[in-house]
Amino acid sequence: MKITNTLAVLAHLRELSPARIGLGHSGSSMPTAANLDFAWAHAAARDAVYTALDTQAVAEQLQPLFPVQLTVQSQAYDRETYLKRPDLGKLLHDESADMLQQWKSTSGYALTIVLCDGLSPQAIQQHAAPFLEHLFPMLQHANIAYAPLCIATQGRVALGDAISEVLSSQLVLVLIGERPGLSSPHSMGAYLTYNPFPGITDNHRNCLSNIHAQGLSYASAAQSCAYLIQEALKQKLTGVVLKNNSSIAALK
Amino acid sequence: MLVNSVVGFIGPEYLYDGKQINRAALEDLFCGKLLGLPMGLDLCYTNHAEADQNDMDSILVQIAVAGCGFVMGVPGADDVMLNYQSTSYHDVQNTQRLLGLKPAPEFTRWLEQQDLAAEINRSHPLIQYLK
Repeated sequence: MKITNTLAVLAHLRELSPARIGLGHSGSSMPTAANLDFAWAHAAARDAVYTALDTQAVAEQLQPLFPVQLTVQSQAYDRETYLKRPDLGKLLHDESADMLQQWKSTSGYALTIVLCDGLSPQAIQQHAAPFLEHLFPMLQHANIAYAPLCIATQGRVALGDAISEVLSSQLVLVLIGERPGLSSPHSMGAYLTYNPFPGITDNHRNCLSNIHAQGLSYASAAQSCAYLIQEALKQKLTGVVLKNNSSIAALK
Repeated sequence: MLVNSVVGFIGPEYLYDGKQINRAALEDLFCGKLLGLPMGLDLCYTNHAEADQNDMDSILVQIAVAGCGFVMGVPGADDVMLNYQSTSYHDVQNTQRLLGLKPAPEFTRWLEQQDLAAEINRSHPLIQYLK
C-alpha cells in the first residue's frame, strides 16, 4: 500500500476516534497544522486546570433543585498548593467545618451531594447541573432524604468524607472535575461512598467516570448513579463488592 | 521479556515538573541497566504537571543516548484513553534519524511492507547539514 492510500484509510479511522491518527508528516516530524492543533489543545487543557470554579454561577444554576447550598473550602489555599499537596485537598478548612456543624442532622441524612472543582472546575460548571437535573427526579421517587448541597473548592474526592462526617450522612456522592485530557478537557466523575469517614480507602468507593458530551451521557450516568445510591442504602455498602447492574435492573 | 517504566503519568502529586520527570526517567533507566534488564520507558506528562512536549523532546534524546530499549508510539503523542501525552511515531523516527538508530529488524520488515520505511535510512537534515 502506498503512503497516500495509507493516509486515506487512516482519514476514515479519524472519523471513528478522537485519536490523532494519520497526521501525515514533514520529514519525520509532524506537519505544522497538526503541531499547532496539539499546542492549542494542550493550552485548553492547562486552562481547564487553572480556571477557578465560579461557585456563584453553579449555585444559581442549581437553586431550583437545592434551595439550601453550602460553600466550603479544603485546606489547600491556592491552586499550586492543591496540586503539590493532595493531602490538604482532602482536609476540610476549619471555618468550613464550623459552618457545617450548624447543619448537622440529629437523625442523620441518607445522602450528601458534594460538588468539587477537582482538576477541571469547568467540568462541574458544565455538567453538574444537567446531570443533577436527571438524577433529582429519581432520588425524589425513591424518597431519599438529602443534606444541603455542598460546593467545595480546591477539593479532592476524599474531601466528601470529611464533609459527610460533620453533617452525619450515610452516603456521600462527590461530583468532581477529572484530570483533563487533550481530547476531553471538561470531563466529570462521580464517586459514591457509604459510611464515609476521613481515612476510608478507595476500594470502598464506586466510580462513574467520563461524564461529558462525547462520553457517558447525563441520562445513562444518572440512571447508574440512582441505582448505586439505592443499592448502597439497601445493602449498606459501596466499593468493589457493589456492582453496577443498573442495565439489568432496567430490563426487569 | 520487556521491562517498562511509565514515568510522569501520575502528575505533580509525584513529579511536579519537566525537570523532575527528566531526572526520574534517567534514574529508572539507570536502575534497569544496572540490573541488566531490557528496559524501556513510557515517557509522559499530564496536563496538571508543569511540563510540555518540549520536555518530552529533550528527555527523549537523553534516554535514547543513554541506551533506552524502547519508547511508546502513540498517534500524535496524545493518549486519548489515559488522558495524558506520551511520545509519537514521529518522535520515535525523528530520534532514530537524529542519532543513527534503527528499528528492530522485524519491525523494519513490517514498515517496508506498509511502505512506511522510506525515512528510516535517511539521516536527519540537521546531521546532513553538520557533515
